[in-house]
Amino acid sequence: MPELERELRALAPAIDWPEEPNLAPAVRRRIEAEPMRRARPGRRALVLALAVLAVAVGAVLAVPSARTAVLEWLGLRGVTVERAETVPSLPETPPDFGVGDEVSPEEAETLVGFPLPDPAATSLGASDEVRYTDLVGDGQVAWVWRDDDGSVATLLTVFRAAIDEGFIQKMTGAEAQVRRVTVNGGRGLWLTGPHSFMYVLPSGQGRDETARLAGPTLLWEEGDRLWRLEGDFTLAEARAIAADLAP
Amino acid sequence: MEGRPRDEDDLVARARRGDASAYEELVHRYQGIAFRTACLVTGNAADAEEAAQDAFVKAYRALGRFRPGAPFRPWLLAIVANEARNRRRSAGRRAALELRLAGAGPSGGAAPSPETSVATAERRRELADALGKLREDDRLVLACRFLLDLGEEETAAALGVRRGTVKSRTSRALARLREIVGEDARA
Repeated sequence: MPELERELRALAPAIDWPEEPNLAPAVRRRIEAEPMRRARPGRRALVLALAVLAVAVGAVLAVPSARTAVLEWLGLRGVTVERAETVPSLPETPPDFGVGDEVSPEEAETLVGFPLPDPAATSLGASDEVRYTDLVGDGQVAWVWRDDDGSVATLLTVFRAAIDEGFIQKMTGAEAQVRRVTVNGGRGLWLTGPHSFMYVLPSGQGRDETARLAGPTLLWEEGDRLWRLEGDFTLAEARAIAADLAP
Repeated sequence: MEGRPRDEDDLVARARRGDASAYEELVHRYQGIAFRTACLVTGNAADAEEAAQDAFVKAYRALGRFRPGAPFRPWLLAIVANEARNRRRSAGRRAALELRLAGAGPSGGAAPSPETSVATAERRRELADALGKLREDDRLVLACRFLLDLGEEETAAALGVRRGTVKSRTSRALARLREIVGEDARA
């Protein structure tokens, strides 16, 4: 081992660390006061091991479910992109399209545990709804903008992606376009083609949880968080919104 | 993880089923490394203690997502470091942890040996000071690897980066440290 590394290792036992607290009693009190995750009746069985974000192009969605061949990997923290011949067929969309229950912006911030920007300060304007789900990462906040007919026009989501690399996978159809881009000086991906957000159940089966939007998607990292913006945008427009959302 | 106690998988499995005693045992086992990791990130003991405590609670609630049979420690340290980063960010503090060395004299050190000399103690002080002068990502990677003796995998988990980044950042940080202190002339 080079000398400097040896010296650093030798330094370790000489360091006088702050006195180590005994955390066990307080942790035990807290976990007994609020056991495991906040259980939601009927959804407990859906504690999800993995989420998959599937991308497909137009009519490809009609292709029956098939085992996919992984051809390519492109990674962001918390998201892995697999290029596949086909993507799984998409079952029916639940009423909340998988982004959870409607909450106030203040509740969303409390539930997700980190400060949130106000998208109303961007060119998107005020959202129609803020929603929260604890089924993605450590909890995900979604802002939803709707068209006059009630359909979802724009979706913006953020969750913390540090715990499990590859926690979310994005599967792209053979025709989908995936580009690495820089967003706010960090890494991002620009995907074109309609896509669907999917969870993979512990059994390994995919389950569609969100509405499909027609627009392209910008995914970008901000520290340990992963942002996703989808709607009818050009890359330049999406980047400008991302810039306005940056802390 | 090398040297992982055999009963760890069992403790984790029991904790996943809601056995608080099993989880308490895991807390006992890993609170030291969790607290020190948090200290390096937050820069102070009070924030580190809160971050570590919150992280243990969050990890317990997230056990349903833990892959059975995987090493628990890197997964835990990722959550701990994440909590610590958030705490530091919300507190707006950026101060690095001041590395204090045990004992000021030549007999200092947790494990004093006959070879310990005044020169060694001075050299340690110099190294500790130099670590404090490094930029944060350099300091953290060296502290995780060499002061906490975390493996590359665990360091990657704690810092929220890829393993390759740990390798490249370590060699960059060592080069910068060498620029500050040089190699030990007595080596």
